[in-house]
Amino acid sequence: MTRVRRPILTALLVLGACRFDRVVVPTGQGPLVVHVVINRGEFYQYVLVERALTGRVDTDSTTFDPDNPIVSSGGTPVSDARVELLWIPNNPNQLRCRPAIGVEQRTVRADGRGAGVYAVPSFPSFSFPKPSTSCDGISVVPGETIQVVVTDPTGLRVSASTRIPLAQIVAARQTFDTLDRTRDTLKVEWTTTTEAPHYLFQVGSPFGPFSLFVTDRRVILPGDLRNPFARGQPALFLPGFQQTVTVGAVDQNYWDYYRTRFLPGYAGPPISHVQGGAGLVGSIVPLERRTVEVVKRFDAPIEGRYLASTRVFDPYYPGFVESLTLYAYADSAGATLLSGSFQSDTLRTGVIGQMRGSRVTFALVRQQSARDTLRSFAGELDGRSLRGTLSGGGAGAIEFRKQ
Amino acid sequence: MIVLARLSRAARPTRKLSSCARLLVALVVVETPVLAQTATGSVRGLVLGTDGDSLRGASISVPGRRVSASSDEHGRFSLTGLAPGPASIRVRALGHRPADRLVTVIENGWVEVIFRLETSPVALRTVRTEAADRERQRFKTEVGASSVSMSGATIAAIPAVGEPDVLRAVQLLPGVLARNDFSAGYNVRGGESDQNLILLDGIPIYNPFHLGGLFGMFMDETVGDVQLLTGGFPVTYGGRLSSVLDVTSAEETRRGVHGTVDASLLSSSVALGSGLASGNGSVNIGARRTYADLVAPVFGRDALPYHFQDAQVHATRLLSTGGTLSLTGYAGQDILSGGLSALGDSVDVGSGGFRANLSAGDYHFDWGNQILGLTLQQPLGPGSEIPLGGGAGIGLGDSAWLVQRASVSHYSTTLGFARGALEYSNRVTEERLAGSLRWHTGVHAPTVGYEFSQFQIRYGSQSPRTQVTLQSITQSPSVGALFLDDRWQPAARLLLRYGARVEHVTSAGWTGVSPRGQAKLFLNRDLALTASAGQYTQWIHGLRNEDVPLRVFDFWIASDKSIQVTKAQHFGAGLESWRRADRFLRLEGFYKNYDRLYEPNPSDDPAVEGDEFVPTTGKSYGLDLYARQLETGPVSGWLAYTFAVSRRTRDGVSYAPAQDRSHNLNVVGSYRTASRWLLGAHFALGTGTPYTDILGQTIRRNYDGTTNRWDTGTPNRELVPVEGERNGARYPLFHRLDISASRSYAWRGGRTVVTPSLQIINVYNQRNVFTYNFDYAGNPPTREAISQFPILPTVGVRVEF
Repeated sequence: MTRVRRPILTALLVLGACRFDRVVVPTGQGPLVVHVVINRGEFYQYVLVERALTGRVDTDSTTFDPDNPIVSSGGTPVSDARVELLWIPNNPNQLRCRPAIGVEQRTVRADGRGAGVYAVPSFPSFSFPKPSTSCDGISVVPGETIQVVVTDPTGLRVSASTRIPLAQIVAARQTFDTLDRTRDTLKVEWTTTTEAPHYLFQVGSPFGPFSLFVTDRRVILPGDLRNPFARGQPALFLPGFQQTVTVGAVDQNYWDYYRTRFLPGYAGPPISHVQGGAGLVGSIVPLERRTVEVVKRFDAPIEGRYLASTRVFDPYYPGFVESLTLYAYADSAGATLLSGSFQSDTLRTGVIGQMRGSRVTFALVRQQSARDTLRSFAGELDGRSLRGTLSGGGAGAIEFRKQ
Repeated sequence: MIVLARLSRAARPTRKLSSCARLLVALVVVETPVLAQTATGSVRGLVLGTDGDSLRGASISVPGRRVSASSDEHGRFSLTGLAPGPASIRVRALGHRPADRLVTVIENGWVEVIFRLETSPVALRTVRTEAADRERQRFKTEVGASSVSMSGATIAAIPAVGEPDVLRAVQLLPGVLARNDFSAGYNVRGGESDQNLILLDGIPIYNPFHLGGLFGMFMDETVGDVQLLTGGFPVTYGGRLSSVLDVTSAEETRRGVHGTVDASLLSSSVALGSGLASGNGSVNIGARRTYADLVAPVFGRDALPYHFQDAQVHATRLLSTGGTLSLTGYAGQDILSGGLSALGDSVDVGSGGFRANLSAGDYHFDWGNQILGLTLQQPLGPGSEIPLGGGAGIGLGDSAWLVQRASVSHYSTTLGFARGALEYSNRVTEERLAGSLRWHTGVHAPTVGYEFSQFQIRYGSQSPRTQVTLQSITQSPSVGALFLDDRWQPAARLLLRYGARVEHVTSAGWTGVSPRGQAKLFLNRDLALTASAGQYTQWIHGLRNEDVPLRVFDFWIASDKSIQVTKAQHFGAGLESWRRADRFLRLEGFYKNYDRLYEPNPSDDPAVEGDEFVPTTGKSYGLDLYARQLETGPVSGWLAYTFAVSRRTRDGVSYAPAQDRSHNLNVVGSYRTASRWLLGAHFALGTGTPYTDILGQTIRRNYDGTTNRWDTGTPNRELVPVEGERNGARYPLFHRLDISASRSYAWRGGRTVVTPSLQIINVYNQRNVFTYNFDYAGNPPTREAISQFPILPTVGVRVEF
């Protein structure tokens, strides 16, 4: 509904509606919010425990840090909680393991990041312990149930269960494709049978994932597809980026939690099956993963591969800047939208930017997320040279020369 | 279907039919022995005022003979069964001088005559007299109390945003609630907004709103008459639980091209009409377009890529049989389409980075109605009968009226995002045949009729560019209804109306009978007690969340095996008192019980059909007060007050629906001066409607299965609410004063009238709350109100010629 209401609300504001009467409302004690998706393909399950925002603290977000997701996104982490994951096998004769206990990452990391993030070890289903042996921890077995119980330091307790989708994995395929966004179409098909209610089809994108819950086993992805789930409906495939396409079987809880996002007219909370709190306790069985190298033919003058004339040391990822590849993938409101890649000795990052006249600005984004800017560049295009300043760590003047 | 009004007995079909089929045939095969006789003739014609306005309800008679008729809403009448030779035709209409005309009745033929009645000294304008006459006539002859009518002139006198709007005028009537300024949608006596049947010349319309309900689809200039039935309506209407809004097109009866051109800050419209040179018909067309998309930038805002447009045609022709054939067509479309940069959208790239404008992403919303209908109205002479076979038949008394209508209503909505990456759509097509036969026999005035509708409904969400279907519902139900209605006057002071409606919905496998009855007891000629009761059903449901304050557009789904036909029972009792010939007071209590209602299911699984709705039950009760001064003098207007209580119950939890407003008051007044000024005012006062309080917010986090991390690749955190008790809080008191002024200037000897107008909505700039925005991410947490209309002056000009 947000997508529907936004232009309508804007229309109303144009027609004269206005904002007024900003008042302070009482703060309350927000419920515990738990997010965990039990992933059959992983050895650690991460449980995020936080409190709902009620205005008790100012949560203006800072730079997003995937190792500190709650704090860096403006959440209120709950530390020192007891997080238990209990494997409940369908076979009553199966030995019951003792619950696996989550360890808050803040307590084990030297940098103190990871407040409210609890890691729980799990056995992949193919190696769960034999019934005759005692065990600690959980095994992620399709068709069986994992119960999650979280108790905060005040004794408040929330719980939920998830049934692992009964998906028969032939093999978690991983392929690598190249996609020319101006002419190619990527066809993704999978044959895995499942009793899960839906497949989650997801394409990673710098501006947010493109996600569909589908029952079919085929999705067509035109190279110029846009992402309706990201603000601004940007292009999904950006040349210069390596983007991942994943397919997974998800449980009912996962499906419920996200489905209301796609309901026109719905503005309420997500459907949560967490007893006594809010959030998501779901599970996923990954079925397929592809990495797509997005490219495009060089057409515009700015497009091409540039070499840095000055080697700039990168303090975030030690190494030296080597090359820059820029693509112009769209025109918008008088600007040319740019994307590309930035290559140092040790790292390849994505580039998102724009050009107005000869003025060029772009950001280097970590983990291919537009939310996480490593450094930014501002400069001028002068013939085959791009001169400007690279700000962020190790700032300095830099010139890129087109090859 | 063809009406065989001229069939003689010899030509009547002799094939044996089932009783049901026979009844259907009877409705369309009616014998008129008058036409077979050789010694009679007929007179038909028009009754007009001196300014060319048609006069409804005029009495036409032949002194000394038991032949009489009333003119219909277009001033038409017909007299049949007259002896050939000279006959004096007399016409009387309240507020006009009587007129007599000597005509020569032709054997087996028709004589056409047009009466132009002069205004009597007590009347100021024809239209005012007409309104008074119609309301008084309604009081005397109609049984139900929950009926309100308005003419186009009444609507035009109400202050409005931009231009007069029928649906906004309806919001000011008793029992009707407008949720907020931004909605031309309405709720009647506590019912949900999808429970209102809206008809244009008898043709159903599914979403008669523009711009999220900000404007109605009816163009003021094309509207002749509006009748609203807020409860206890008769069996001649079906398919909705709460109300009926019956809009009749205007007809230009003057010869030559006449019309109206309206221009305001928001839209321009033109309506043209002409009576046919032969005097036996008319053609009327109208069109409108908004230019908010062009005007908005003038005020320094980003362009609003939105507009809507309407076109309407209405044509009538008198037939040689004395009947009338009319055609009504309407097409309207809302289009909201453009790039997101037009709405100031952008994406933050990193907290310390810059803003990359991503306006290349397009969206496209459009929704609209198209209707087309053909109606035949055929008066039948004395002695006509419904053939039942074997020479038997039902006599139709001294006069009868046959109506046959064939129509198509189409409604479509498309919400497209990101150029085909995601799309929601709804298509509703109703092909409808309907007919009725009303006749008068003694103290009875029975009506029998039928309706048959074939629906094609598609609802779905899909991603066309990825060739993924997310949800697809296709329905093609057939709905049939038969009804029998009788208006009976067993005593001089007592009027009864009762009947039953039998309906069958194929997709639901449901058949039901809805009995309904009304009574009116006259304590004296100016005071009557009224009562009504009945059962109502609905088989097509709006898939919209009533809790959302803005009615953007509707999705419609029909009842099927999973979604049952909903039912309600209406009970009402009240009184109506007339103080003068042009002033009355009405008081009516009502109680509505809903056996079953539906609201959209937030857990709707697109892969499962039948879980789109969840059932609720409910009740609404209250009291309507309506005091009206009709348009016979300089001052006119009304006061409408409604006290109402509504409750709904879902899963054992009781709550107030979002349309529950305990007190709702509307006072409307207009003052016409002798110097052609028209001053209008409207004051509204209402208690706040319920909303669900927000107690906090959570961040809906996104799991990245490829990295086993959270929120990577999610540039903007998504805050979702932690809700309190459903509709447990209420918005503050609502009140608003609107005023308007216009003056008419006559040119070209009065043949052209130019009327500039000024309207000021919300004169004292009351900040009425539309909705609240909560922010719990800051310290302290805040709540911010978004207002309804601020003070909003608009100017316009109307040119009539």
